[in-house]
Amino acid sequence: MDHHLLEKYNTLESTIHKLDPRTKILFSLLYVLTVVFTVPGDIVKLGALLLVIVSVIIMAKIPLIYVFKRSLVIFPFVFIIAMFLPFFSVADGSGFIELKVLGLNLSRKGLYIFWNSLFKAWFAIMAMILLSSTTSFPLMLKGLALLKVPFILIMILSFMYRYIFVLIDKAQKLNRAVKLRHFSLNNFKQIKIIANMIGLLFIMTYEKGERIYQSMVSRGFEGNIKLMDRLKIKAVDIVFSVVVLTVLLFINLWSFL
Amino acid sequence: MNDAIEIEKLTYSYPDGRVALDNVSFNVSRGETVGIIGSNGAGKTTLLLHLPGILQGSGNLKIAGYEMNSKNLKNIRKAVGLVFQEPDDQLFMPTVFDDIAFAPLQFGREPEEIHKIVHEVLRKVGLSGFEERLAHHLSFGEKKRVAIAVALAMNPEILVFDEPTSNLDPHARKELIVLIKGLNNTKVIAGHDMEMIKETCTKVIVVNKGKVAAEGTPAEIFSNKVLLETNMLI
Repeated sequence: MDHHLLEKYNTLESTIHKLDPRTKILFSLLYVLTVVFTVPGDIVKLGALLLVIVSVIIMAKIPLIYVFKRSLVIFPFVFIIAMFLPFFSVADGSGFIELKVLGLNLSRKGLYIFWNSLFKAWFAIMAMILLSSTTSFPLMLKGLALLKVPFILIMILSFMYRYIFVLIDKAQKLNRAVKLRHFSLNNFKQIKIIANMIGLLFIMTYEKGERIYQSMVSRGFEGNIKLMDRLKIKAVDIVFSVVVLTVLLFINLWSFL
Repeated sequence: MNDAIEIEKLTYSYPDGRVALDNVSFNVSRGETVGIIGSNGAGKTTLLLHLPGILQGSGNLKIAGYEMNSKNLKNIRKAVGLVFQEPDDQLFMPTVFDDIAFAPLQFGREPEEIHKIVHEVLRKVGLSGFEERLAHHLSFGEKKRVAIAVALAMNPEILVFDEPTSNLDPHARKELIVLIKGLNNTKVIAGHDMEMIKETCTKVIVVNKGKVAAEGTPAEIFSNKVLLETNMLI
């Protein structure tokens, strides 16, 4: 795995990168909610929302093609969850499309919901990719902590982020050692070796955890971790919030005007 | 004046019953640098873990003037900065700043003071400007230095190093020795790197199978080939 995959565009300089993580997290959530609550088939609204996300991506100086490529990852999931919709949706008078070849009936309504969920999921994942490529993980954790996400979750994520790279290195070394000695194994025997590797990794992490705990204790850890809040809401956050809030409100209330 | 470290008849067994430290006694006076040498598994790390009270065997320990007991534990941990052999065990926060700020925060320091501390200790270890660096992007030598900065954050009276020069390239090793020599705290250094111990320490303690086998000046210890050989050090 590429260590820097997560952090590829974190260090760019842009207005979006400079925003407080709290602003970004809250607006990503707000955006996702707006997308989710859009009535299926409201193409004008979906188009406007696409325009919003694309313009913020451009503002953040992140290549659009990179976001599109990474957003493809969501489609298999949505596909599996939503693929049966056209087959099971109750007829509502909109009728069916008959597939002659397979002898199946697809409901128009179901198909309609299906492509809607596909688009919504795609918009939402783009917002998340944007958030994670403009916010470094430590900053994101700080933002989440200040937004009152339970502290234990923050610490779990923090340790995960710190040690996932160490663990990957360990696994790669183990894998290399296996490859050096066993070059012609059939799949079944390989499974046994992989099982051993996983066990070994588990013991390594267990022991590492113990030493990390010792390090924490020697530095005054007594069951509660105190963290420092080094974030400040800046003028740029307020401007961004006002602009995006106005745009989202406008998009939401458009149909009532 | 008290000694910085007074250890009297310290005995510790692992949970499985194996004796790791057997009747260990020695003193370290203030400002002294003491090297602890011994073969792998001689009990060096176990001994070091007793200094900040992480492990607690039987016997009398007095660290920085505090009797080792649960009431004094907080003060003892403030007074002892422990540098682990493996920096990945010691640096558990995502950024260098958070790691160095961890101990001062737990001990209740004010934010402005913490900023100053972080800046100051990074300057001391020669890594000014590393505050926002991510731990997993540092080189091994840099991690070692950050680990020392972390230990210095509470301005401890006693600094404890577990094999500080292991796995370092010759250049980084030389620089680290210079760095260690430049710190005026009382120091306890465990290791196999005899040259490093010779260069930095004023007193050397040889441990073997959990016992103190010899104690003396570097000149005395390192000229005694029989002693070194019986303790599996050459």
